[in-house]
Amino acid sequence: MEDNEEFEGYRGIAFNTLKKFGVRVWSIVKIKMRHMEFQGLILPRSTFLEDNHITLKLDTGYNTGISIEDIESIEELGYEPGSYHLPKPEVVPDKSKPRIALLGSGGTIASRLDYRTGGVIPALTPEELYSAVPELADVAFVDTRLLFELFSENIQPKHWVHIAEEVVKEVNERGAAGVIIAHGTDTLSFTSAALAFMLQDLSTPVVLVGSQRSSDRPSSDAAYNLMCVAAVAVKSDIAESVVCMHGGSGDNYCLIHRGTRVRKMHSSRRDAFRSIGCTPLGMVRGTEIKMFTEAYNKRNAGNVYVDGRIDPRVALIFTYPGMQSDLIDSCIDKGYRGIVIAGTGLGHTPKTLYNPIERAIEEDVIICMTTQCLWGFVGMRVYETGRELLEWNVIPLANMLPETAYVKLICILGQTQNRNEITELMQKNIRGEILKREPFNGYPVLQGGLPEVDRILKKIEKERGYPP
Amino acid sequence: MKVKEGLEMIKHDYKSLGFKAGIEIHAQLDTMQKLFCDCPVILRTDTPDYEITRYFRPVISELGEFDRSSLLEFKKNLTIVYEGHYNTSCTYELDETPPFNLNRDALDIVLFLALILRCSVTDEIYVCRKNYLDGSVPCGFQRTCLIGSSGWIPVSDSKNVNIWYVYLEEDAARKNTETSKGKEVHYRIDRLGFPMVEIVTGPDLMNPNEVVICAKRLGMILRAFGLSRRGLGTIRQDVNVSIAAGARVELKGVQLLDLIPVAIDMEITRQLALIELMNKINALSSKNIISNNPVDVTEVLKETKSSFVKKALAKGQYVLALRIPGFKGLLGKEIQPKRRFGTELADRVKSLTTLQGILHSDEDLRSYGFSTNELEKVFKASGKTGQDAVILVVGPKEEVQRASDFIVERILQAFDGVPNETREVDSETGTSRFTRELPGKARLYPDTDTEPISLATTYIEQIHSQLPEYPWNSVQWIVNKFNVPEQIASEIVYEDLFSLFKDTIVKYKLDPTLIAITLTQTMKSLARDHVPVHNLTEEHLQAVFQSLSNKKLAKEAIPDVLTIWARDPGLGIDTVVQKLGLTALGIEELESIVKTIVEQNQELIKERGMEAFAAIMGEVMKEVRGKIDGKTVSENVKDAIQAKLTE
Repeated sequence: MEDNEEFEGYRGIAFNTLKKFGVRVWSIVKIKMRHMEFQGLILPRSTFLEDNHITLKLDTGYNTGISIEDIESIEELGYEPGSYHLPKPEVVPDKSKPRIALLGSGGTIASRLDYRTGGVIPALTPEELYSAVPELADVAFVDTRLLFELFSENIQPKHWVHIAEEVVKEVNERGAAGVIIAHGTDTLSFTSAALAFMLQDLSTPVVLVGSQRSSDRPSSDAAYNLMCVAAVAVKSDIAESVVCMHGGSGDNYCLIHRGTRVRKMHSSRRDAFRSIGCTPLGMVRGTEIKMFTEAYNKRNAGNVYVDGRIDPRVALIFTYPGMQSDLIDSCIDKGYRGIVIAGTGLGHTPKTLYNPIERAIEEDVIICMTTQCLWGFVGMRVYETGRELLEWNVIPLANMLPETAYVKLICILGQTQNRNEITELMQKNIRGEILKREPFNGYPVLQGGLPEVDRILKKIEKERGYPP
Repeated sequence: MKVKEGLEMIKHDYKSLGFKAGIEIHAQLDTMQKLFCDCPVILRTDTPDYEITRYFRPVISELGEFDRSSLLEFKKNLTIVYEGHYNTSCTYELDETPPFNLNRDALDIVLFLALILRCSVTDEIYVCRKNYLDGSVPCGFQRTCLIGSSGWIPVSDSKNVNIWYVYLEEDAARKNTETSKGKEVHYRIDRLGFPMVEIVTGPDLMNPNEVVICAKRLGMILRAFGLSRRGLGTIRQDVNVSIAAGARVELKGVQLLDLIPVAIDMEITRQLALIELMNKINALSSKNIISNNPVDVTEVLKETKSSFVKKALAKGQYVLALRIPGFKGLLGKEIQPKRRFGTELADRVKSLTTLQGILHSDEDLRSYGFSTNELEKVFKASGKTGQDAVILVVGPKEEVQRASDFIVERILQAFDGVPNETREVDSETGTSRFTRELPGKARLYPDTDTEPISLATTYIEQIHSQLPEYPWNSVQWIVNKFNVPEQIASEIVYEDLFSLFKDTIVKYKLDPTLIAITLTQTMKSLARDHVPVHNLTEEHLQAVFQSLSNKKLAKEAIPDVLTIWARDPGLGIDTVVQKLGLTALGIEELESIVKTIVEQNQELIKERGMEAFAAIMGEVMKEVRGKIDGKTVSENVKDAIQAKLTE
């Protein structure tokens, strides 16, 4: 009974109190307490909270929790169920502008706050998009479609295939000049890598974008990010899966990162996404795109198609001091077909893993090695540990990012069972996931606090007019 | 800063006008850390380490609409630049990290305040977001929570004023007027996140005097218990004023108590003038004939000699002429001293657009460099006839159109009298100008980054049981019981020295006035002489009082002892006394010193008699200062001179 929508979130004594006084969620009430009175709107309550308070929105707009034990009476003055209306869009999209597709998958960029409950509701209608970012209409005719609504941590390999198939439909059948994928940021780079591997003969930009501040906030980065990705989707000559997000903390520019070399490097900053081991492909300021390199696939007239064969029975394991054999053993026992290890340093594991690794190879489980350092190559011939692992046919993956390797192995295992082929494909640079050489400026981990570094940062800021 | 004298003040009959006022006080709390992060509460004046640029967008309210005041801010198209320092601001202030736990010290202070204001404390505290699009908060909203409600504070023996709400919130960033230019507004983020209390009274104050007393008493509570920070801008008060025929207007920036009655009277004058204007225009004109169709007179003025219009036209800007039927002479009507109805229109334009103001036909337009001929053409183009007024706006195309919208909107409001709005008070004259419309409650919504805080009843009861006396009662207590002058008693209470004073009185047999003066005036005078008195702790002061009561120290030595101690707070009292050569003097030693000096001055004594006292006393004091109490010395010297004379 407590699941009843009329008492959303209320249980125990709070639920009983509401029932006793004949009021419910969205009742406008006057609550008499021992010393005072409150007037306001009863709001739904989070089920994670204790059951001894009623949540009330006062006339001032403030929310407050009222202790059940002090309540003498509650009188219902009215009933005003919460509803969420969409505003009318201020602009009518111009259909003569280049058409781009915006595919929603959930996540912060495509969500809004339900002001009454504080909950997050998904939102990606054209109305909302254009009312939030009317300038989009100047750049493109954006066709929005919601594929599914998932926080990105819940996205699975099958969803990558789904997205890839929808991209193909947009490009081949509907003639989109580019495709934008709105996606939660947590696993954005997994999806960008997956699309890179799955989309064959890609002819247009596929741009993944998210936001680190939800669009219900006046300071949201969503609007600026959307403007920049729309420019990339319409104007750029990239025909790759890329991620485009804030480059700095300010709303000055976005960076375009190759989908297989990008990683979320901060839990909350706007400029969380960084190219690892290399420089980004380019940058966007509003609608102006500047590429840093010519080394990318160019827009073409071809027909894109999906290779959606996958085998998701792959694990990604981070090694650590004191690690025991059970994790790897358990993967083998549970029928995993591949394991990507993010080893320490040049690609090492504790000795305790030797036995299970040897066993895994014997049982035909593919083991790949990447480095948890993220920057740099695995170098398994340097120390004895590495040499031993190589002996057992652990596949070293150069400087491929662990997450990219995980995604790639899922794809490759879907294509072949042959160990030699798997090894060859995993070690072959297919979508820029392996850097043949790491440029010296691909490791820009400047340690702030050093006076010379702070000076450099300030100097850059002064010259460019915005901070790095 | 003092209110200008000679200002022509008009006193009003508050009762018959149906005057009502309430106040809102914002005070920064004296805590070490900010409200939602671990950054220190420090203001910076040095060059910032970095600048971050941001743009803000209005968000849709829970009613599915844009908050109007947010939308107006957005349309100004401002670029916001934040100036910060690496070591005193973190990623939280820049809206790059979600909030950390609410500062419990700040919460404790506000709980105490709510309780001493006899409020009921919120059972379960929700952090709410209040939208601000002017850039003053990088995340676009201020985090604020309701802590107490339904309390009261006495403003006299017979009257209590309702305290509606007590909130705990974050202070906003402060605008840097030196680096801001045009549409680029700079803010220092150092102040952002300072814990702040907002206290809101009911509209129960019936005249300016009550407003002052109420503001004063709230300030006293904040100061007396050391709850708020000290210094300029740490306490800001707003006054909500209305008269029966007028409307509620929020007066901001009334920092000085002296300014309150002036600003209130000025506002009543303004509301009365607007009511008079309303009656007049409803007779002369009507809402129906006011229309927003300004005429583009850019072409007409293309040869103008007016230098500022010439400059604007060179930049490709426009001039619009807006005819206001029946308003001739009314734009020039004085609303407040040196402020006309035209000024009210200009304020709207200045505040809501990026234009610098308006020109209108009730002022001498030729003083701007227009020729009579040009003006005639402009008036003709605008359709002006005899009783009409004409308003000119100059600027970029979109901005002049928006300016025209705001002018027409304000003129239509004039038909209904006084509009609700927020106004900024000029600290010199007490007059005010429009800053924004009163914000709606749609600006508030729950914060999803924080959990509600449930307070244990026992915790509240514990604070409640230890509530002190009201500070103004404590002042009277000191005055009546110890005969300490009221001025000094006030200082004791409002400098948060009351408990130290009481402890000292109980512990040592000393003159209460001496204790009081030492704690207040002596300390202040040392501070003026750049003695680092902040190094002195209660223990230092107690040790001084103890030595005084043991007669180890004479009261004359207090400033010297405190000076040495403030500079070297680690010393022991004995070392300090020795350092000063202040080992107390016995009466026999004194007598021998006096005798020697009297002998040396025999001639003088013979010549001048008792008049030699001052000179001799001076010489003796040079030797014994601080070692023995002055009164004993003076009696001793008098006796010795007397003895010499009767020899």
